[in-house]
Amino acid sequence: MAIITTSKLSKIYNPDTVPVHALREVSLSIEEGEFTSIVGPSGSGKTTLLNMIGGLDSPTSGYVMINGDNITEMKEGKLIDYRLNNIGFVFQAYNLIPVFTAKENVSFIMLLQKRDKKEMEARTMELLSEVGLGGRENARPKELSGGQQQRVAVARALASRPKFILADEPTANLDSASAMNLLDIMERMNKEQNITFIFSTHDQRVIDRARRVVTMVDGRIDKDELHD
Amino acid sequence: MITVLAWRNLWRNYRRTLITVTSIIFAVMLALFVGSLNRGTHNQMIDSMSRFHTGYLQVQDSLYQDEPSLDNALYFDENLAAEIENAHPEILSLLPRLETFMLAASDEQTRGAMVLGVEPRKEQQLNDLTDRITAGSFFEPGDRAVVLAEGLAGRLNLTVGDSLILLGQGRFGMTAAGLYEIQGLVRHPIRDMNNQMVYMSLPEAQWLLSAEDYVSSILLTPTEVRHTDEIAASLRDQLDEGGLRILTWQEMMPEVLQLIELDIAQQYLMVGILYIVIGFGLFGTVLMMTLERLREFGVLLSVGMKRYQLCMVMFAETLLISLLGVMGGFLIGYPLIYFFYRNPIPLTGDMAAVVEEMGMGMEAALTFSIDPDIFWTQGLIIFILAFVICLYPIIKISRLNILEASRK
Amino acid sequence: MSTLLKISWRNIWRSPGRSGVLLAATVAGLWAGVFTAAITNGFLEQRFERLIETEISHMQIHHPEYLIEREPHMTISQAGEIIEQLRQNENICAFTPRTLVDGMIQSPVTTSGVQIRGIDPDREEQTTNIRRMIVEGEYLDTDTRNPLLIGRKLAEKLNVDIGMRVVLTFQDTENELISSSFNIVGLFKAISTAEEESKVFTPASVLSEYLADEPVYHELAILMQDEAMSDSLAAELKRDFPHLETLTWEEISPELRYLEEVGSVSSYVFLIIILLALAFGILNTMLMAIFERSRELGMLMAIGMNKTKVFTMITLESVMLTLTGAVVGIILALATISYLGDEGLNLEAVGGAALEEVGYDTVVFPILETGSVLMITLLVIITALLSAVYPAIKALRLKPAEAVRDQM
Repeated sequence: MAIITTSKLSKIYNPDTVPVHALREVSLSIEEGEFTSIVGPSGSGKTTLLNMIGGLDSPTSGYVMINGDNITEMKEGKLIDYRLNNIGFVFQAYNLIPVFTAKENVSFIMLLQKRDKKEMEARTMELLSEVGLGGRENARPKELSGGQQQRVAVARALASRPKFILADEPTANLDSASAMNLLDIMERMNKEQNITFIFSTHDQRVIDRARRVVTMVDGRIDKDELHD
Repeated sequence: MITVLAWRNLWRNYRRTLITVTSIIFAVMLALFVGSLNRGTHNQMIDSMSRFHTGYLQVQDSLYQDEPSLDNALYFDENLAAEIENAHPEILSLLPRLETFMLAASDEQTRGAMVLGVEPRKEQQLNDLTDRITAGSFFEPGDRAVVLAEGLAGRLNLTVGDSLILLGQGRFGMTAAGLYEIQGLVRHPIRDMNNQMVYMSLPEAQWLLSAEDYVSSILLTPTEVRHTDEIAASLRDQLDEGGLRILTWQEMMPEVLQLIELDIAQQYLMVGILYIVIGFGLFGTVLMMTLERLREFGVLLSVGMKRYQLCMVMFAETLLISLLGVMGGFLIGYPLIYFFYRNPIPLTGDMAAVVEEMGMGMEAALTFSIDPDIFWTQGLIIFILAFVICLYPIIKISRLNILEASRK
Repeated sequence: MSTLLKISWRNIWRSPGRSGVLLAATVAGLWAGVFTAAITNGFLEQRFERLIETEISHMQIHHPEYLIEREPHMTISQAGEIIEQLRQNENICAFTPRTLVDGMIQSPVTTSGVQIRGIDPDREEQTTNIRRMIVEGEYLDTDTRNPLLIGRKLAEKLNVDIGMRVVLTFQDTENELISSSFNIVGLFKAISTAEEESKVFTPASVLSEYLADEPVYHELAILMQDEAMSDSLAAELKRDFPHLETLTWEEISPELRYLEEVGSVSSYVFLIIILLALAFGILNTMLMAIFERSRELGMLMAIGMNKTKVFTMITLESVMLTLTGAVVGIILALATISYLGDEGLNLEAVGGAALEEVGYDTVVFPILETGSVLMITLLVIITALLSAVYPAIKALRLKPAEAVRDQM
């Protein structure tokens, strides 16, 4: 069964003044364990699509189903809890809480979930070492490099044990080595733990690593290819 | 150009500007309100004490202040009156008074009384004496009649038509005694006075006290209260040799003056604290406006803007915020204060009792003043505050390293 | 919750300059506000004690018409019985009977009206602080015949000094006029100028002899061990001696009770004004913090931080920041108060001399009660909460998608 299904998803910004059709009837289905990249030029609607899937924005028409739940119909308060327990986010920048250390950033999300303290502590350390940051757990974001910060973000996204992780241009601000390192970690988790990743990008090296590439143009799905 | 730039900058973060302006409006309004209320109260205090008690200015014999006895009364005739009045057109009226303490008695009761020889028509101009009559009428000059303050009449169990015996000492130890018909009763707003005043016509008092042509003091009323000091100074020059002494209300009632000074000190303290708090708020805003634009400053400096021009922009911004605050404060404050100036807030109950207890003859109402200096003082304080606060961006700009700033 | 506390506390220090300015404003405002409140409090408390100690005592007993009519024959009947009853009451600290009569005082120079107070030197000393008021000469426990204490101001006015004689004229209980000479043994300074000019003291035994054939008293003043017990004693005395008038200090001087009430209210009003002024600063600071962090807040909401937590985080930030400043300010105020503890604050420099004239102390000892510190802290928290509401609502209105999209 598909973990994510979008049905005829449309989004029009400024419908009254200068209408911008960000999405035009996008129907997409994503299975568990996918490692999917959404690509396309700026303004093609990939960020909007990710925001819809992540429940950060609501469509003008159509709906999003996650694991059989229609998140488009959810009230805002319920949606926040739904995001907390089901979706992991990695953004392009401003991922981390600047006043918290790497460890605090990761455990923060589990605190929000009211997890057991011991489990939380152990999982935080485990996740940080998985992303190669064992030993840096007490560093604050500004003491870490851009790549290290994004790895903390991935660890945090995983911490809540989400159904899938949405990453919006995760490598956009990174140099090649850091970008590849981040991709390695994401790929390994996908393979070893069967975690679903959906990320947007326009970096060809990242596209090459994806197993499914959905190309968007002008708010529509232009191509949907599987790479192996 | 700088003003335009400053003005537009202010509205880049209109919420912050509005909050800061509102805080200044709040402070200015409050300061105006307190200042105006205090000034109004003080004026009323000076006014009623002067009118009902000592007058604004007095001419006395130079020995009278130390030894207020009839022996030290002063010779008063038309010539002296003319001499004073002709030299000073800004004197509205001139009131001779002869006063002494005597025993006032009915058939049964005896009380101490302050006997005042007056010219009722002239008193009326200063303190509405004849209007305050509650029974009977006032005497004509030369009548063998008295008018009693209500409180004293009550204590002596006397009323209009009864006879009053006065007993005491005249000038140079002469015995003074007389029987007078009570022609009227009058209410005196100062409680102590209300319990002891006996009015009679000046010539009658002079005759009774063997002090023909002598008066204790001459009360002068200026056309404008604020001219009091000038008139006193010039009278001192004029009357120096005559053995006369000129006293202003400040000298006659030093405790009232000190009370006012204390009140003003308290007001300065409170308003000062308020302005310090508001000043920090303004400083916080200026600090933010400076820090968040350091990069922009770097860019502006590297494209050729002079440091002093940048300082001018920041200064103009601070000044504009202050100006808006002060104007806003005036715009809202003035009508409010003007309204209360025209319609004093009446006091009731316990508050009114406290005012009465002060025994100064003041009305039980909160009065306000609209003296212009109350307004411009607040404006001045805010602008000085703005100048001081502006030192921060100016120092920051003058030390700014262009390269570092634009790289941030 | 503890995580929210931690995140809020650390957020405060992300902008140390901005938070520092607000902290400084809070410290200054609270220090000044609390200190002023303590001064006002101490000032009024001293005034209260002084009036009770020197003038009113906790309770007075008179002939029911005496306070209005003040006639010499309106004496306290059954005085012996009452005195016996008072002597046995353990709740009473001290009491004293007085013989009062209004009259006239005459020196070689001039004449003035006075209230002649015949007192029991021993009992009066225990009830009021009369002995401490004497600035020159002796108290009434001397061997001099017809001893008299007069006020400094009155001595000046009459131009008399210790050792000189003055003539007192008054009515006896039969309304006969009595004149007798008295010897000035001491000069006193009183609670106010008016008091100094209008009261003279002589032993009741001396005065009583002139008034009637037997000892007569017009007033009984009672000082309680504990002020709280005055109501029950007053009730008891009213029941036992219904033909007399028993009044507690609140009934004798409603103004005093009113001042007690108003005094504490007015210092709170001033504090609230300071807090209002601070609120503008808090509002601005928090609003800036929200705008700067809009992306971060968007991210927090995206990853699952709910609205209650966001709201709590922002208000916590405001409360912690303000409370830190307030605590420092209050501690500073407490330190200042304890520093002044023994010396008191001398107000002479700011026109304090006038205070003496109207019956207040020149040196003020600030008083701050635990209750008012708690109340002030509560007010500070409320202010911080209220001024964080608008910024917090602004934060909640951020749309995660829009806030996050800003990054592009």
